Amino acid sequence: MWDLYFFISLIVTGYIFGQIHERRHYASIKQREQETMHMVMISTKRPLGELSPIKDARLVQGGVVISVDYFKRIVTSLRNFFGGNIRGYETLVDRARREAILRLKESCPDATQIINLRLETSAIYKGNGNQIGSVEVFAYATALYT
Amino acid sequence: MQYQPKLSDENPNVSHHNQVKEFFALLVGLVTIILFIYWVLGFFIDAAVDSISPEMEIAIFDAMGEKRLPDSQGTHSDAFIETEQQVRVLLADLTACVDLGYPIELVFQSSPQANAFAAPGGKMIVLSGLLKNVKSENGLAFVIAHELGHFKNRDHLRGLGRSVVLMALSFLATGNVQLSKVLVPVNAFQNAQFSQSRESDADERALDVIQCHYGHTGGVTEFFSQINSDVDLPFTHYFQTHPEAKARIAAIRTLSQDKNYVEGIVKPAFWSEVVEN
Repeated sequence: MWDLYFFISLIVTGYIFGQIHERRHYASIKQREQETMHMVMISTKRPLGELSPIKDARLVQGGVVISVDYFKRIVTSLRNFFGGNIRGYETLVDRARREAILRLKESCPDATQIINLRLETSAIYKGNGNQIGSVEVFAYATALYT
Repeated sequence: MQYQPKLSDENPNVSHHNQVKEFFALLVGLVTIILFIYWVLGFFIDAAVDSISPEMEIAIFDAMGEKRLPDSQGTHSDAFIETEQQVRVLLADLTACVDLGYPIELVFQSSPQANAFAAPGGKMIVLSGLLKNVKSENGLAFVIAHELGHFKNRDHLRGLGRSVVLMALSFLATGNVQLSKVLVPVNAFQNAQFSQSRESDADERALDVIQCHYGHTGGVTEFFSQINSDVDLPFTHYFQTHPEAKARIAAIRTLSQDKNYVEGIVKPAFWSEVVEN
């Protein structure tokens, strides 16, 4: 019986802290996206319009690793049984993508344009079983300076 | 073309849904499916148990059981060994009143716990702590007769089969050791409901055995009067495999009256003091 109480308390704790963290993170993401919105960032190989002379071109990068909370892990285990969208992980990956891009932008505040943006993701496996413990998103691009 | 940065108001990449609701919906769905499969498999287990002959049972479990059960003839005191012998004689006398089809082997173990088990392969495990909780031979005989009732009804095999199925099901369904714990209370509940009717059946058999051996049913409720039925958590009643002591005593008395059995004078205990080792 104690096993069960322990498990329930883990789920409740996971849910509460997961929610608090997620809300705070989204608030931070939205604010920083607003602040860095003026920076031109595209995924094409060539810059937008005519940029001359280009003084410098640098590889810039931003990466983040975000862990999933216990509650979401359990919901996902149940979801694995029935199939369907794993909606619990959508916010996790969304937060990671946006955070990685924000960190990339913040690493080159003076860039005229950021081109050739690419995103990579990888799952970091945790201990026993094939449970995904956390997700890594790595963003890289070329920053052009005029 | 002019680059005009703009943030979208909506985030189409995430679903706005209630995760807690999703969790409970999935959980209820999964539990329902598992219980249904478990219930269906229960019939297969019963069929399998009925088709296993006593000889086959002994052949299957002899090899497995040997290592698990420690030899009771270890470094025990003379009093312990003497008591064990007397319990063995009592068991043999009681077994004569039931047509089991195979001999029951006694495993008398030193333990503070007051309990006895019917183990597969015709092994009855009696824990020495049991002797502290009964004051007469008849009281002890009823507990032993109750386990004989389980052997007669082959509950030890049914119980084993069900536990194996449950463990396998809950693990297979979730693939997660942690998650299978969610299903534990459901399993316990299901198991307890199944078990309670089995326990009552075994009690009925035990009454017949006691009546056959002693000619009366005096002292049969002794053990249940002694055991502490503290209920410290809500709903534990539904999770108990053995019907609560009070209700059980009442049920045994009613049953005894229905069968026109009378309570006579009990035989004193053959163990002089509490046998520890």
